[in-house]
Formats: sequence, structure tokens, C-alpha cells
Amino acid sequence: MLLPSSLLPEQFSGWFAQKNWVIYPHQLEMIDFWQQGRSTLLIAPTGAGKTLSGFLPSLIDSNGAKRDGIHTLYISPLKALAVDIARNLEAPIAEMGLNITIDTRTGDTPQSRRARIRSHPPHILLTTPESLELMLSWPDAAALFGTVKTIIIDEIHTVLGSKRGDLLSLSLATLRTLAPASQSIGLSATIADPQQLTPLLSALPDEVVIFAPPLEKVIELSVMTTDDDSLPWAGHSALYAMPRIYDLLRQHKTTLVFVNTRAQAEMVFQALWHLNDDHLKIGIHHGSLDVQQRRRVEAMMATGALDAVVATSSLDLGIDWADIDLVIQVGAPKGVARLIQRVGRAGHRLDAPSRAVLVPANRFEMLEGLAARIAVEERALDRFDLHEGALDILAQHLVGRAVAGPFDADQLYAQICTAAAYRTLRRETFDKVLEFSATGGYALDHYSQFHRIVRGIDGLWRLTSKQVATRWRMNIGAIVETATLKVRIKGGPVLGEVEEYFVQNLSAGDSFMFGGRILEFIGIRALVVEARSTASSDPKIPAYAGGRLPLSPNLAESVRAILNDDEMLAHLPTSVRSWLALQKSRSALPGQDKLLVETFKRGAKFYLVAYCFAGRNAHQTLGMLLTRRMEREGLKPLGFVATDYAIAIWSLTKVSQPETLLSPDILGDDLEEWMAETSLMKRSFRQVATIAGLIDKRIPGMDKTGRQVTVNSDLIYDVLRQHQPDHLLLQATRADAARGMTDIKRLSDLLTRFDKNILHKDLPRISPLSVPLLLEVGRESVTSSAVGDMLADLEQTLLEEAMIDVTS
Amino acid sequence: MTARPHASAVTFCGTDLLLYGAGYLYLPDHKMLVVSDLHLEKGAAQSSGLPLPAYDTDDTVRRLESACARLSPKTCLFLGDSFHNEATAFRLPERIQDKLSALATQRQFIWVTGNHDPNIPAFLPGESCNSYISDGLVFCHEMTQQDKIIAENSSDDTGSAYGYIFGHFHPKARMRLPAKNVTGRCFIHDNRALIMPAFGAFTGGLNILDPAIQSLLNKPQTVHFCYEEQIYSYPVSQKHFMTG
Repeated sequence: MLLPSSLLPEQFSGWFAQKNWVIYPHQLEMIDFWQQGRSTLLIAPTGAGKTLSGFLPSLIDSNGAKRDGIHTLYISPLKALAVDIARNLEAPIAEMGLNITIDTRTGDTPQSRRARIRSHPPHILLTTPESLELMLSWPDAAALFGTVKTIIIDEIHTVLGSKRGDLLSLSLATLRTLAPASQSIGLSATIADPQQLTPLLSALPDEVVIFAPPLEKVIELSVMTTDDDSLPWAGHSALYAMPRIYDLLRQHKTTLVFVNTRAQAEMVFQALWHLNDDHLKIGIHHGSLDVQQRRRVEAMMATGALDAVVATSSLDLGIDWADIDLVIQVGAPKGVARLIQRVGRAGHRLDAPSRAVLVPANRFEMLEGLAARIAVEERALDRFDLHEGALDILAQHLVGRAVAGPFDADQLYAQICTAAAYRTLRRETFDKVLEFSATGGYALDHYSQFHRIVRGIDGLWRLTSKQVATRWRMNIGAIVETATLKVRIKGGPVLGEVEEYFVQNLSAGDSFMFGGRILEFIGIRALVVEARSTASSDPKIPAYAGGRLPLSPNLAESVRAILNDDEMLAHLPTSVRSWLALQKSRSALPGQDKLLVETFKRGAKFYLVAYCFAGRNAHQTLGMLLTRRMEREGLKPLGFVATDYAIAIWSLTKVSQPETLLSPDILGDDLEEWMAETSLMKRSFRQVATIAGLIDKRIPGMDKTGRQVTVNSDLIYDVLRQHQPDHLLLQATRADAARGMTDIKRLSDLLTRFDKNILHKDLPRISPLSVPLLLEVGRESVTSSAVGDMLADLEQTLLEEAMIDVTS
Repeated sequence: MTARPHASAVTFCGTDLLLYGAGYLYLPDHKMLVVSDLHLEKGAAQSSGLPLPAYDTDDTVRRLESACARLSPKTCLFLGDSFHNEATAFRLPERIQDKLSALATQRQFIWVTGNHDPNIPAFLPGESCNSYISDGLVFCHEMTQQDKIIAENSSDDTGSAYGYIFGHFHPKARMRLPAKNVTGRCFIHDNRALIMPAFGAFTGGLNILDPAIQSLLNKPQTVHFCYEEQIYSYPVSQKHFMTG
């Protein structure tokens, strides 16, 4: 279909001509769909002018209109993206002389500007899901959002299947009720099943146009290989590759170096600066750095003042820098869609190819890199797992609705049933959540001071006190972050934030990397970490919590396939080939028809390694099940580590019969019973309880002088489980655990597939393939009788030491 | 499971004590059970807008019941901060009042007052006092630096020194073990002062290496570590105990 360019008003076509740009056909079509009054999901790769496609209809319409109020509400999953889009819109609006005002409202927006949005609403408001939910609770929300004609949701695929997506879907349902005439535009990267996204865009998903113009971008992806022995066995820093990465930076104009975690970013940044004899301008960007520092790097990147930036997922999305000519991915990409998105940052125009180099950090990642390269060539995209909307998010939303004003339960229920994640919500469940939001939902209802909302004589539900509203505002959102502390150079600027638990392990004089510098820890003063610059050569690395994504099942299975394909193996560098050959001679390579299980002894511990290739989540579950079973059989398990490829579990007693240990009937064990005792469940509960408003988000560095002002969520979990096991929050916790950390179906498929089909290798020493696994961080330790034994051993040891002291 | 005794036997200032992994102390010669820092109704005492489950009180009382069932004490001594605050103490639900009264029919309750509960409600069984002295032992809620000096420089009629048994600090220890670190409630004492762990379900803890605790104790010190109802005893050393 060829659309007339008359869809584009003169003011706009003139601007395109002046810029020497040609409007893409799909951008014209977006204008057409909007003018037909249809909600649209636009699916296009990075660099297809996606953002402008979304805004063009609004720019055209709101420029002509004479009325005031918000015309277009833009929602971005990332604060930085909202700010960047605002900046990018200002130029065309100014150049075309359009009569349109823009403003942003995110968690970072200063107080003065927040007030301005309310008193002088802009035509286009850019915001994030959390800020939207907050604004919808204002008493004047109906007037403020009643004028909205277009709702643009950018990078909509990134919230799919997450609690943030649940929250967004509830906000959107509210928004559509306030602005019934609005239509939605969703902007998404290419995903396997676009139908999963349409319910977010309309209460009538079938009416949404799914528009996927044929825009394929050329991707030139190579995997960096080494033929010498420098490729490490384990680790995630890829330090061995830094000289070659530095050479690439020198050969290209502007390079984006992506890493997977913030700690990696710090290490890679340090290593590159160490090599920087050419004085290249290299920047660093990750979510822990101070907002000002991040903005500065973004601005320098936009003007081409930097030669390279080392970044985490904080730069995955949207932010538009035309001149990047190379993307380097350090470490395994973990998912194909994510890799394509990152690679798309290079040659950020449709007609320019994206050039990218993948740098494996260890030998396993070399296999994964190869699998990813093949998947990118085939565009084998990962699917999202959808789930029913989380109940803790719903509980938070219900209180939020009461913050906005009195509500009628029947009407609210009807509205919530139009939210994408809650379309199948049963009234019974809704009532139970409402009961929780009102009274806490406890079987003993003695304590009226707990009541947050009450039903009046008019039948409407309203808040019991202003304090409830204040508390709700402070705790809004789906992301429960680990408590963080600001880092400040003594007498100097704030550099950013680190997790509290990292600080707890520091003593005065210790050094650590942060914000691209090596700092010496001085102490904590008034909730701020004070540090000074140091020349120490052996820094600790900030051990950040975030950033570790599980490998997608597709990719994990491809890695398994590569191991059994001699032709594919020939593509690997010799160091990896000889590692695999060594494994083959000392043990065996994981096959496709038998499950390889190794056992060996190291130090005082007996290890069992199973190469299941089922992804980290399934392995995590298996680890918990196995430790329980081993505990029962008196094998005294101490802990386990699960990676995407395999699981290692260690114990004080040797496992001689792995076949029986791994039989599928392990899933017959009472699911709840084993899950309930794990630290994973307690972590889940803390998140659920925070989101649902049972406990406050933690204030870092909280007063610990013996008088505890808060109640530890672990203690609440234990008591609640004992006295009311069917409580709503425990239900929500189990649902979370079953979804996020366990993967029962995959696990049962796996165990059935390999039942009595196990290749058991009892080895005299650690096997080559298991080395990376045992060097992995993120171990789960188990509470078990082994701990009791260790405590008793220590008692005995110290007693003996004391006896020697006495006698000598 | 290894057959371990559930209690550590300690002779403290000339008196035999049994320290239980469940967090209470027993004086067999006096048939007296001692518990500290119950913080009853802590859940209910949280400010409005946080609908915490109030089952903590039920839980704490249930464990008190099982201690009484196990030991059949003649006296039950509460070492202060039995209630999280005065307001909730006076609003104590009837089901809890009934349970406490039932326990008190067969024994005497003595409520030592603490900073959280300076007034014990009259409807509760037993009597209250600032401190309870018996057999050269002072049972109180909190020992001050002044008390410490007294304890170090005085002696009773028989010439033996006073010992202090108190709570308030909710001591916890972080143990460094070969494969993992474990945190838990504990008793800690030197030759004159013994600090009880908190018994309440919702009570947090203060690390034993914190100056607030260390300034009250001399060296050497012994920790009796509570883990899953068992108790483990250690001399305190930098090597095996961690802060945090």
C-alpha cells in the first residue's frame, strides 16, 4: 500500500526536506492508523525511526489543536530514555516552529518541576510506569489526564511478563478510564509473538493493529577467538581480551562496550584505561552511578566527544547516538533478542549495517557465543513466559486507588479486568486482595489500627489516614532494590551508590573500584560512604546485586548441540577444543541422550556435578530439591551452585548412587514444604511484603543500636507461615517462587528424559568441564544438619585448643 | 541428628545455670525459669499503615508454654521489655491474657520492668519490680557502667561477688564456619555479667562485638550460640566471630 504524502502537513514535509531526510513509508502508515482512530503496535528494529513514528501523529494533531491539557502521554521503562526522548523532540519542534510544550516526570525530576506539571500541564508528558501510577493517585488526576488522546508506550516488550508490566497494565487501565477517547501506540523490538503485547494497548486487544513493516537490518557479528591459552577457564571479566578490545577502540570512531554487570563495567573500564596510551576518551555508564555523572556521559556521547563508553543494560534502550560504528559485547549475551538490541546500537540507521564483536569471557561462553552467532543469523528469537498478574502489585494498586479518592469495589473490579495482566482475575481473588489491603487479611481481626482503607456507609472504600497515603507514595513500584548507600569522595562530590551489604564487608583502609576510580574506604558518616582516591593495586570489586540474566533455554540447548557436533566444534579456538578434548579423555562430554553426572572429592567436600543444560532457574530448583533429598538420606549437603549449563552440589558425605538421587520422583516431594524452608522463599517474601505494603522499603544504614525499629521480614515470614499458612502474601510468595526461581515443567521434562539414563563418572579429581562451575559466584548454601555438625566441630576444636592453652 | 543436650550447664558466680538453645535460662536449685525481652505485641505496636501480622505474640507465648511444660518451674522471671510498649500492653488481647493466667496458676510470675515497659498492667498475674536479687545474683533489665563497677568491687555477706543477669541488648553472634557463616541469637557472659538473648518472635539483634556490649564485659568471654533449638558454646575470639 502506498500512502499519499499528503498525510504529512507542509510544515513537516518541509522540515524533512530541509534535513535531507525521506520519511519512511511505515512512518506515514502510523499517521494513517492514528487518524483512523486505531491503537497500533509497531514492531521494528532499533534505528528504524521508531520513536518518531510514534510521535508524528501526535505532533501533527496537537499542533493544530487550540486546546490546553496533556495531549500525549509517553511512557518509557527507563528514566534516562524519557529524558533523552524529550531532548530529541525539542529540536524538531523548535525547527518546525510547532506550538507544542514538552515536560518529563520521573523519579529524578526535581520538586519545583513536578509542581509545574500540575499547574501548567504540557502537551506532551514523558514519564515512567512508577511515576504514572503516582500521578494517577492525585485527586486532580481525572482533570489532568482526561484530555489525553494518545498514549505511547516505548520499548513495551521489556516489561512483558514482569511485575513492572503488571503495574503498568493496571495504570493503563486506570488511564483509559479517565481518558476514554485515547488511543495507544506501542513500540516494540522484534519479538517472537506480538499477540502477547496487544492487551496492554487496549481493553479490546483484537482491535489493535499489529504493524510489523519489513525492516531487516544487516548485522555483522563476529566472535573474538584466541588460539593461544589465554582464554580463561572461568570468570566474567574477560581481562585477557583487553589489549585486543583496546585495538578495536582505536580503529573505530565511536565504540559502545557492553558488559552484563556493573562490577564488570568497573573492571573493564579500569583495564582499558590502564592500556590507554593514546589518550582515548573512554567513559563509563551504569545504574549505580550518580544521575549527574550519567547525564554527562550521555551528553558527551551525543556530541561525539567520547571515543568509547563501557556500559551495562543502562544503555540498552533507545538512546539515540547515530555515530556508533562498533558494538562490543563482553561476556555471554544470555539472550538473542537482547543481543540484537544491543548490536543494533551500532550503525543506528536502517541502511547502515550493525557491526559487532562478541568477546567471550571464559571457555563456556565461547560455546555460548558461537550458539548466539548462529541464532542471530537465523533470528531465532526467545519467547516470553506470561503469567497471571501478581497479587502483591494488585494490593499496592488498590491502596493507590483509595489514595486517589473513594472508590466503588464493583466498578474498580470491572476496570481491573481490562488490565492486560488481570483479565482473568476472579472476583473472589479480588475480594481477598481488597480484604488484605483493608485489614491485613488476618484470621484474628483484633487490631483496628492496621486498617488502611475502610468501607463507608455510602458503600465506598476510602483511606483511614493521610499517613497511609504518604507511606504508599514512598513505597510505590515493583522493584524492591537492595538497600544502597551513597559514595562520596571525602570533601568532594557524590559518585553514586553501592549496595549496603558490600559496604558491610569493608573495613577502613580497604580499597574498591567505583565510578571508574580506585577508592579507599574511610568510613560511613550520616548514611554516606566516605572514601578517598588511592593508588592501591589490589582493589575489591563492588559486588552489585543486579544484572545477572539467565541464559535463554534456546541458547542453552544450542550449546548442548554444539558439543555433539564435530563440524561446529571445528569453529572453536584450539584452547577450547583442547579443554573439551581433555574433558573427553578424563571424563566424557555431555551427550544428548544421556545425562552426564560426575562425582569427585576436593578438600573435605564431596562434589556432584550434573550437566543438565536446563537453564539456571531449573537448576536452582533442582538444587533445592536435591539438597532436601540428600539431607534426608544423611549425606549432609552444604551448598550448591547453579549455572545455565550445570549444577554442582557439595556435601560432607559421598554420593554413591546419583541415579536414585536424580530420579523423577524427586518432584513428588511436597513442593511447598521444600520451598518454604529456603532462603529464596524468604527473599521472595521480603519483596512481596514490601510491594504489598506490609513493610517499608529499607532505609540504608538504619540505626542499629539495640533498639530495633523495624521488624525483619524473615521473622514475619516464619510466624505467618506457622499461624496462617494460607495468607494472601504467602500465596503470592509461592506464586513468585514457582514462576521466577523454579521451572517445574522444564525440570520434570528433563528428569523424565534422563530417567535411568545417566552416565555416572566417579573421578579421582575435579573434571576440566566442572572447573568454571566451581569458580562461579552466587552459591546457595543450605540450612541443614550439616550446619549443626559444623557448629559442634568448631566447639570441639576450640575446646581442644583451650585445653592445649591450659596444659602448655 | 546427633544426640546433643539441649542445654549448656554453666556455673556462674557460684550458681548452676542451664542455658537452653530455645533462648531461656533455668536455675535448677531454685526451679526458676528466666526469659528476657519478649516484646509482646511488637507486631501490633507498629505505626498505622503497616498491617503486620500480630501472630508474634501467640508465637512467643506458645514457646513460653512449651518451656514451662518442659521444666515445670516454680518461678517464672521476665527480665524486662516483656511488652513492646505500654499502650499495647494495656490493650493485650484476652486470649493472650487467658494463656498467661493459665501459666501463672502453677507458678509465680515476676515481671522485672524494662525501658519499653516501665508499667506492668495490673490485670496480669504476678508482681513487678525493678530488679530481683537472689543468691548473689542480680536479675535486671539492663546493666549500666555503674553496675559494672559495683559488681567488680563488691561482694555479698559470704564474700563472693555479685553477678548480673540481664537482657536489653538482644545479643546475636555471627559465626565463621568452614563452608558458610551463620547468624543467630546467643547468650554471652564473662565472670560477672551474663546477657540473655531476646525471646520475642519479632525481635532483632545486636552483634556481640558491638561496643555497646563489649564495653560491659571483661575478657575472657563465652558465647552460647542458639541454633535450631540446640546450643553450642565457644570462647569469644576474633577468629570465629564476625561483625555485621
